[in-house]
Amino acid sequence: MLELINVTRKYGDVVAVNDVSLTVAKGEFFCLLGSSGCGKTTILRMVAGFEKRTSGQIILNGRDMGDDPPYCRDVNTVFQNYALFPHMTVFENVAYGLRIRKCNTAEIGTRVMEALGQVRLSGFEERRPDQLSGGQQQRVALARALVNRPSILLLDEPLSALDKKIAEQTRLELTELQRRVGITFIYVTHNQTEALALADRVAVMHNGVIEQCGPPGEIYEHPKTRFVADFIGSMNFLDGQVTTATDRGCRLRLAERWDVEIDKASPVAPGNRVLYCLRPEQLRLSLLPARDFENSVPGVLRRKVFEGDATLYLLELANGQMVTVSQNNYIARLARDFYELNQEYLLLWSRTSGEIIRA
Amino acid sequence: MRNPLRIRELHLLLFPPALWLILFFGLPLLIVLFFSVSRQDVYGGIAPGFTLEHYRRIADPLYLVILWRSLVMAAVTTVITLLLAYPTAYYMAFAPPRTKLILMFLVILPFWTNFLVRMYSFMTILGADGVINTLLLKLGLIHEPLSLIHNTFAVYVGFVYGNLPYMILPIFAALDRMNTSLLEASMDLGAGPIRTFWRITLPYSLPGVAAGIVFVFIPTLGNFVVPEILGGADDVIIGNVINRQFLASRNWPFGSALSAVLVFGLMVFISVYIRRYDPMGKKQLAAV
Ligand SMILES: Nc1ncnc2c1ncn2[C@@H]1O[C@H](COP(=O)(O)OP(=O)(O)OP(=O)(O)O)[C@@H](O)[C@H]1O
Ligand SMILES: [Mg+2]
Repeated sequence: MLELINVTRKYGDVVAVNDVSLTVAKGEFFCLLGSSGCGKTTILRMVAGFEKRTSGQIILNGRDMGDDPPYCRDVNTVFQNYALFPHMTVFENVAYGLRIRKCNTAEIGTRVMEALGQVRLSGFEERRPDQLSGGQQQRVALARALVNRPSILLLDEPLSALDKKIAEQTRLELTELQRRVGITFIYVTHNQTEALALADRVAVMHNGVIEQCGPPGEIYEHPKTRFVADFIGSMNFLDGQVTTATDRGCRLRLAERWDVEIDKASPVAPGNRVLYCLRPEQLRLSLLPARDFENSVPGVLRRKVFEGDATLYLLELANGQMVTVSQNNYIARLARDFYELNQEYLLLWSRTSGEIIRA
Repeated sequence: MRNPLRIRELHLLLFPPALWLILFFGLPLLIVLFFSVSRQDVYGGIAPGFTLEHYRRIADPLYLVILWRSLVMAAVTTVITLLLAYPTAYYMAFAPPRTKLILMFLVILPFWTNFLVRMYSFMTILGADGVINTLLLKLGLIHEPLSLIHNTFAVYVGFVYGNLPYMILPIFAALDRMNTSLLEASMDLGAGPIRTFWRITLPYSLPGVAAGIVFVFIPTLGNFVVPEILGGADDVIIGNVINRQFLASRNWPFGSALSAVLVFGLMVFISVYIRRYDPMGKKQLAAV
């Protein structure tokens, strides 16, 4: 439905968006995720028509939008600062798009009321934007865009100005609302929790490039690049070299000293260097080898960080590298596991865990 | 946004300006009021005794015509100034920062020269052997000098010129604090540039416009210098009449009565106006 083909945007020498291609399906909740300055807003503004592309095509419903001005595009935006019209009431703000489209008064009335109902703001019609809380303003901005029933709704960090509790609550409402109205959402955020929780698909951006695009589970479980692995959640990286490889699995030599077997196809031929990525929750600490955790490496426990539901254990390996292990406190207590600082332990993990990435 | 100071403490801040206003505005106004109901002494001073005769004299058609003409002139001046100032302020507000600074400097530049001097300089521009006439004659576009000075036209030129900065600056201030995302939101919702201007930009800048109107209309109404220097014999407005009562005719009580009527008329106008148009931008400021 929306397709970007080799879209590039340069500001002088700065390449804000570099040869980006992506497809968003109808009704999808699509997230652009990336750290500050990676070009998320620029992509959104090009789709909305506020920014011209340097090259490439932006196709909506089979038609290249070219350099159409924003007011000719079947796309609406929820701005990061909401951009509500201060001199209009909530009702007039929401009615704005319909009035411009010259809908009749009766239809405007019903549709505005419906939209305000959808964002749970019935009864606020006569207020002015400065008489609303941040969360309420955000919902007016949402209603103002939704009421036009656009093909695509663009949201630029719509929750970033809200405090954590309200942001979490609004996040839940947003997914429900999106399911209900069935409008395609393109949602920009630098908050990975938000992206993973909300999206049907996430595109992780870095330096104007899309590093990886897929469902949240896939992004989390199978990162394809070092940036994605590092950016999403926390990750331990172990240097390694592929010694043998089959299409079912491979053997790695980690840090030039430990041989491990992994049930993952290697992305490179034997002899090449790779990064082996393990999440803290995939690792176990133990004094003895365990049956379900085929791979083990020795290390000394250096620090414990209590995090409430879990504890992080920082283990120093023989090559000096620190590895983080996360263990659930409740389960550890049931198993009467207790770990002492400066004691040697085995770092255990299953041969099905972890991802192998080109170095 | 709430001020952390308590109201009582805030009131203290008002004390020095309040004192100033009482001394130099309230007191003179009372004196004028007192003069306006006093008798005229033969030498032009104030004689004891109460009378309303001066107020009765204002009702003379002669003065009513002048008062009406003054109102019309001030209104026309305000409208022309507004029409010239708005596009300028708009351009300034949306210009790149450097250009903005330069333009602001240019708008303020005339204040460095005395107002009277600037008005006299119009003589060398508009006069029979002034810059414009000389140029047009040299070019052969006219064969006799146009009469550009000592008429109503010249008074308007002077008024509009002198008042432009007072109209440009408040409108500029209003437009300058407008977030461009409001314009983007309007376009995003389907409005083209023209409808965006009428529905968003203009309403947003109205407090600035309202302030500009006050800043231009009121001083123009009381101005006597411009008609004196640039106007003809008929271009007498209320300011000139008052001026003459105090100086040439030496009729202080009548001059005071005229002043009092003008001042109270304006006070009524402003208090109604502020309530209606919010020129101080209270609502807008709260929304930003
Ligand atoms: N008008 C502009 N002129 C020059 N450079 C710009 C302009 N707009 C954006 N850039 C640059 O383009 C890059 C991408 O900007 P963009 O606003 O898309 O980032 P972003 O991913 O939205 O970041 P954030 O999370 O901070 O909002 C940045 O390096 C930025 O400095
Ligand atoms: Mg951004």
